[in-house]
Amino acid sequence: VKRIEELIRGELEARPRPKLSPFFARRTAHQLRSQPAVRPLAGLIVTLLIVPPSIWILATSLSPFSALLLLPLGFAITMMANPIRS
Amino acid sequence: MPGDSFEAFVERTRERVFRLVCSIIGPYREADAEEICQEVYLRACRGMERFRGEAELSTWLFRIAWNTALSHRNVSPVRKGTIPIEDLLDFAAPHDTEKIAIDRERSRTLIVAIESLPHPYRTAIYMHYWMGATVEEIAEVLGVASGTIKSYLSRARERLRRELADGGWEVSP
Repeated sequence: VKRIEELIRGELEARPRPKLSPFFARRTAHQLRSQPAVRPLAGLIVTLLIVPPSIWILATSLSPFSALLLLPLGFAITMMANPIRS
Repeated sequence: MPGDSFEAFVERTRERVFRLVCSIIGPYREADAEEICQEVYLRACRGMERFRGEAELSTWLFRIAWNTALSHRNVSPVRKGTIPIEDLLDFAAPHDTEKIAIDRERSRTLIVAIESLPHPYRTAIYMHYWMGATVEEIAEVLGVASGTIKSYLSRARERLRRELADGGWEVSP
């Protein structure tokens, strides 16, 4: 009758241990440097500066057409300030 | 943070983080482990300025690794389909003797039982027996006392023994 510890050792110690790529640190540091330097707080501030005035302009717009023109502009600025990080 | 010092920090901690991540996500998904580790360091670096001391930083890093790997495992839990076929049913091979077939069946039961253990027990078992980490190393990485890890290992072994016994395998404690 085998002991449970012997069985676990036999099963898991025989299993190859995965190895981390030797370039992992360099690759991770490189990926970090390529991240946008914008911080979430900056994105939030810019969003707050853009969105409420846009809504106000929409609500009191001179014409529906000019209000519609502001929407993609507001969206583009918001995305630049708060980029999606993959 | 300057890239160079971050690289040094990664160099210093990467093996422990990698072993922890592998132990949490399990032995059939090593390919995902490196990607998860990268995510861990990116998350850590983004919040690095909040930390003052080295010990606190590494503890926090391991906590991020723990949460990231665990959420990855919860999103895509190990299914039997993920386990390589040679670890499951390969009893019909003509060269297999009866003893080999029995050993394989017991091995399969043990693997399935380990995978069904609750998270801290399973992680402790993988870190200790698969990754070769000492009790003290596991305690540091998981942020608990050594006695707690000994208790995890002991309870996990007992659960596995019972699981094997329920499957008809005679195993002593």
